Formats: sequence, structure tokens, C-alpha cells
Amino acid sequence: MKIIQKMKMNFNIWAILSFVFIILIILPNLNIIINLFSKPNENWFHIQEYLLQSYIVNTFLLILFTGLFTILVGTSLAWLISMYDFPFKNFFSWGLILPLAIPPYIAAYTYSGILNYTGVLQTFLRNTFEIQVNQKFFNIMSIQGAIFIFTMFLFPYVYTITRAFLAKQSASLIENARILGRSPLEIFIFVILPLSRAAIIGGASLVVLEVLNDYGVVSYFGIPTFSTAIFRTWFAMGDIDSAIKLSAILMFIVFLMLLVEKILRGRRKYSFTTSKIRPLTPIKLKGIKSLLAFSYSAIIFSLGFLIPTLQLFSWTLLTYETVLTRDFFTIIYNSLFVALIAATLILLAAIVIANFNRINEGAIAKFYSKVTTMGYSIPGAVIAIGVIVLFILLDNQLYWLYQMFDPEAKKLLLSTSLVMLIFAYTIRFLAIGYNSIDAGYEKVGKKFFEASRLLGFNITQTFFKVDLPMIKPAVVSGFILVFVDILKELPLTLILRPFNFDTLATKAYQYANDEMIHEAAVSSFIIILISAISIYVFNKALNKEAS
Amino acid sequence: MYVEINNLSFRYKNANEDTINNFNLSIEKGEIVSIFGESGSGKSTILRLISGLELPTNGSIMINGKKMVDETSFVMPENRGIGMVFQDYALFPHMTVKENVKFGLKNYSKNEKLSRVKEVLNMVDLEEFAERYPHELSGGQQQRVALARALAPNPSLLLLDEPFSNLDADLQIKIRGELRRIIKKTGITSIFVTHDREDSRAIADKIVILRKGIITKIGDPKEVFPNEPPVWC
Ligand SMILES: Nc1ncnc2c1ncn2[C@@H]1O[C@H](COP(=O)(O)OP(=O)(O)OP(=O)(O)O)[C@@H](O)[C@H]1O
Ligand SMILES: [Mg+2]
Repeated sequence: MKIIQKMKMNFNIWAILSFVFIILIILPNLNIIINLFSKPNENWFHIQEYLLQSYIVNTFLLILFTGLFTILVGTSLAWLISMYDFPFKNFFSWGLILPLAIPPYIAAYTYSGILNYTGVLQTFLRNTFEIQVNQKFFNIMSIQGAIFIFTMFLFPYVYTITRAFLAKQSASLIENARILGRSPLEIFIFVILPLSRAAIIGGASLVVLEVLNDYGVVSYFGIPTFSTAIFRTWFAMGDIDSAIKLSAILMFIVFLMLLVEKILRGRRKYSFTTSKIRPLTPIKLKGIKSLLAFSYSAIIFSLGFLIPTLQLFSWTLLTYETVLTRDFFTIIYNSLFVALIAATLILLAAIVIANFNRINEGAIAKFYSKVTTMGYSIPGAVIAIGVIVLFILLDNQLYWLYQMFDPEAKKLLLSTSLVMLIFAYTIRFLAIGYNSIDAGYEKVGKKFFEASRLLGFNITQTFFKVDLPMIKPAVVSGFILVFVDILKELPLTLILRPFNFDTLATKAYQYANDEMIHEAAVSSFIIILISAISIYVFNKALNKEAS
Repeated sequence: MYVEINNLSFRYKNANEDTINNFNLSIEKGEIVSIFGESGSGKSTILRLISGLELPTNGSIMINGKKMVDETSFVMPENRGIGMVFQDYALFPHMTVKENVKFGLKNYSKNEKLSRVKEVLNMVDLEEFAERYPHELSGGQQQRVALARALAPNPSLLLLDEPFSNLDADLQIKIRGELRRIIKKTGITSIFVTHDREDSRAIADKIVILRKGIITKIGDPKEVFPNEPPVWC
């Protein structure tokens, strides 16, 4: 009886829509997991025997070393910035987030352009000092090169999370350690690292997920990994069954990583136990120490942002006249259009699910929020395969319907349309929109919602009159984050875009792949500019909120 | 009886014993009832059950002959016609005082809305603050806006959750007299929750003492708190 009563109470448009969204997210992923157990074909045995091992080894090398190096760079910088005062510290404090504005695949071809025989560095050495360098040391197209690229452009994940954690840490712990006569380095190793373990691991796991998601860097550098393998089996060999199998293995690795994260993180979350939070008073560095701190920050900032951006800018100046054709404006339009549509849909879905979840706390809500945030952990190539399989299935099922409207309709309607790409974006980036909206609701709480209900408005009316105006900042920030991420996205777009549909990201990638690195600069520069601006705006808004 | 609550029981999802246990209460029309109990005794929970923000595990609630909840039926909170003054007021921060009070006047014409807003703001003596935002008001003023907002749609029952908990002692004594006057003037049936014995005695016609979700005493102030000097208000 109670169950029926409860169902009646909770049965509304929000519940129905949330349910539909969740099913849509689960379906393509389910497809992959189910197909893991289907019968393998000839090609699969070949892959298993000759290739699989190198995919696994390369993937693990990449995530292991990138993970380690980003932790090293990210935490050391977070520590410097939170504990000390040195010249330009305030600038570095947000400037060191900027490498995130440069997608690793763009960084990869930019660095390779800087370092190759005709690049600016070798040319300079040859012409000025008549030095002929050993090409071996200047070849970035290797696994070490990829680790360098990933580290330089992904470390801000570790840096921002750890810095935010340290900023909120109770200062007394660190000051106590100081009074007990520990040197700053000892404090770093024995106090800061263990204390911020959860934050560091959290940041590093984002880095690892990004590395697993990457397709651009590894394919440009020619490193066989799961992403490139999935692409190749699907595009070059047309073997979707094996592509699914590879995706399933990659998904398994992702879940393994998430499990490792959970274990490493321990029972500690990012939360702060003490009620009184007194911010750390930074120590003013003097002389050589101050110079060292400045130089370290400056070097990382230059490698991770300044140098590649300047290089891209100069290439842009070289080529913009030839690149900026009418076609190029179509590409800009495409990029903005698809990002706008997808970001709007994502925010709508995020709002619906988040609203449902906060009204119906409980097991279902927990499950929904898990599913919603899962998409961000699944590499683009895997989502792409799952979505393709689903859409081809749909097209087969709906063919009779297409024929009813148009007897000469083609069979593959949905699976050759933009719908498929937008659907895939939604699965992958829903987590970002959702987290933003969820945080917004968290901040507002439920009391205004309840007050409005008691004043005679139902859930939907309350949403438009009370909730939406109050979570508007969260909606706007969620939208910007998702929009920028879609603008930069590569693997999904490459696999799922309709024929002849180019975006800034795919165009940059194609130019670079065709050895037209200078031409690739224009679209890359636009992407970086938009991302950098959004990072700047966000950091400002965040600081304003904190003070 | 105007309000009939029978065998009401409730348990929060993650709690392991009943938060409210077999709660029974009847209220006559126009009566002011106070639920008195220490922190955590379940006072707010009872108001949430009456208003429909929570679904009881057991029991029934009737208001003015209408079934609000029992074993099989459930009236949504927005359809119960109950006004509530929240513990922390919950005034909409993005609306002015006037907009807050007007919010619940759903089926009124534009003119009716205006005159009703004026009327209730006048009643709580806040007419000149109509255009301010909640954060531009003092605690006592916010409390009166919350009262005005709850009264505006002429609810069949008014619930007040510790209406004085955010006020300092002087203001509390002043306002509680005023509150009784306003409520009695409108003739509205009310339940108000407090952990302050003086508040209870000053305002209520009937007092319910609650301990760990169970009623331990019920009756008029003199019965419930005998041997105490009368309160001044
Ligand atoms: N959402 C919730 N989930 C689980 N337990 C809750 C929840 N809200 C309240 N409780 C518990 O139910 C009990 C009664 O809470 P309630 O808020 O009704 O107390 P109260 O009498 O209003 O207290 P106070 O005077 O402090 O406002 C408490 O033990 C509280 O911890
Ligand atoms: Mg309470």
C-alpha cells in the first residue's frame, strides 16, 4: 500500500524524464558490456596474439608515468603557491591553470613543430651557433614525448584540486610542524603529501582518465594504444566486433583505475574536519629561494602555455590569409552550432536529473547520479563505438518508418546525422553539467522549494519560479564548462561526425596529420583563446565568491 | 474537531527508531496549540508531516473534514492550503518583501493581490518595507514578513516552527504578544512549535509536550505547567 502511495507521490514529469535520460545513457554502454562475451572472429585472434600486449603495455606506461609526473609537478606547484610569497605569485596562481586551455593533441603537434628539423629551435641553433643537433634527442614523437605532453598540459588538474585543498586546510597543522623544527621540505613530504592524499589522487585520476580518453596525441605520435586500435579496427578493417571487444577491455581498465583510486584515497574524502578554518599565511621568500620559486613556476608556465601559444600565434600570422576562407567560417559556425545545441541539451538533462535527485533522495537518486557522472570516465572511443552500434540498430528497426515518409529513404538515417554526435557528447559531458547544477542545488538547499510548495505551487511551477532563478549562476557556469569542452573534443567528433562535417578541432587535427602544421594553427589558436578566456572568467568568479 | 491527527508514526529513511510514535491530537477551530519539547524531540517533523512534506508510515490527518493523508490517500503539500512559518523563515532572497508576500496569492486578480498584500503588510506593520529585499531587513522584520507571507493566502491552518528562535530575548517577548494578537484577530487555527516554556504559556490555548516523538502531556497551560506564575505579555 505504502509503495503505491509513494509511487503516486513521486510520479511526475521529472521522474519520467529522468528515467528516460538514464536509460538512454545506459543503453550504449550496455551494448559494449554484453558484446564482450560474443564469439570472437578471426581478426580478433590476430589482434589478441600480436597486438594486444603492446596496447596494454603502452597504455599502462602512459598512465603510470603521466600520473606520477603530474602529481610531482602539480603538488609541488600547489605547495609553493599556497605556502610562499614570491614575485608574480598571484599571477601564477591562476596562470598555472592555463595549460588546460590547450588540448594535448594541439600541444603535441605544436611541440613537434617547434622541435623538428625546420622548427624554430633547430633553425636558431643552426643559424646562430652552427650547431647540428642529434635528431634523436629532438624527436618528440615517442612514448616519452607523449608523457611530456600529457604532463605539461594535464598537471593543472592535480594543481587546482590540491591547491584548493591546501587553501582550506587548517593552518595550525602546518604551523605546528614548523614550530617543531621541521624544514619546509620535510613538512612537504611528511605533512602535506599524506594530508592531501585524497585531493592529489582525485586530481591524478582525472589526469589518467584524460590520458585514456586521448586519441589525438597517441595517433599523431604513432603510439599504438587502445584508442588508436579501436579507431583502426573500426575504420581501416571495418571490424566492429573486435572494436567492441577492445572497447570493453578499455572500459574494464577504466573501472580498474576507478577502483584503484578508491583504494588509494582510503576513507578520506576532500572534506575538512576542523570547524575553524584559518587560511595559511604565506611565508615571504627572499633572495635565491625567491628566484628559484619564481623560475620553477615560470618554466612550467612557459612550457605549458606561453611557448606553444606564442608559436601558434606566429604560425597563425603566417597562414591566416590562406586559411581564412569561406569554408573556414562554415567550420567555425559548425563548431559553435554543435557545441551550443549539445551544451543546451546537456544542461537541460542535468537540470532535470539533478532536480529529481534532490527531491527524491534515496537509492534511486544515488544510482542516477552514479550513472550520470559515469560518462566522463568512459573514453571517447568507447562511447563512440557504443553509440554507433546503438544507432545502426535503431536505423534497422526504424527503416519501415523512414519508408513510410519517403519510399526512397536511405537506411542509415540517424547514424549518419548530427543527432548521433550530439547524443554521444551528451553521454560524455553530462557529468560536467550535472556536477555544476548539483553544486548549485546543494548551495540553495531545499527550504525555498518547500516554502514554495506550501504556498501552493507544484514541483514544476516551483522550479520555474523559485529554483531556476536561484541556481542561475550554476546553470551559466555549467553551460560554459560544457561548451568549451565540446569545442575541444576530438575522438568522438572524429568518429561520429557526419560526412564532410568539420569542426575547429577536427580541422586542426587533419591539417596537422597532413603535415600542414602551420595551417593547423588558426583553428587551434581560436580554441585556445576561447578556453583561456573561460578559465580566466571562472577563476575570477571563484575568487569573488571565496572572498 | 477541526484538525484530527490519529496514530501518526514516522521514521526518517536512515534512522533506526521511530522519530514520531503514535501521535494523536485534535484541535478546535480557532485554537492555538503549542508543541513544546527539547531539541530533537521531533517538533519540526510533526509540522512536516502535517504540511505534507513527509509521508507518514502510519496514521491519518484530517483538516476541516478533508482527508489529508491516511493509509491510501495523500494530498500534495501545494493542495493542502496550509501556511507555514519556517524555523529560518525561508524568504525567497531574489524577491522583495512585496513579491514574497504576493507569491502565494495564486488565484487572485491583480487588484485583489495588491490590496491583500497591503492588508497583511499593514497587519504586521511592515508597509514601508515593501520594496526591500530580505537581506536588507532585521531578524524580527524578516520573521514578520514570513508570517505575512504565510497568512496572505488565508490558509486553513497555520504552522509556525520556532518563530522566535532567531530573535534576541527582548524582541521575543515583544513579538510573541503581537503574534498572539495577530493570530487571534484573523481567527486562524494554529500550531506553533517551541522549546521555550514561556513562549508556550504566553501564546497557546493548549500545550502538547513532546519527548522523543511521544506525547507525554497534553492540556491547557495551567494543567500542563501548574505552580508557575502567569507570564506577562
Ligand atoms: N532529514 C532527516 N533525516 C534523518 N533524521 C532526521 C532528519 N531530520 C531530522 N532528523 C532527526 O529526527 C529527530 C527529530 O528532528 P526534528 O527536526 O523534528 O527535531 P526538533 O524537535 O524540531 O528539534 P529542534 O528544536 O532542534 O528544531 C532528530 O533526532 C533528528 O536528528
Ligand atoms: Mg525543529
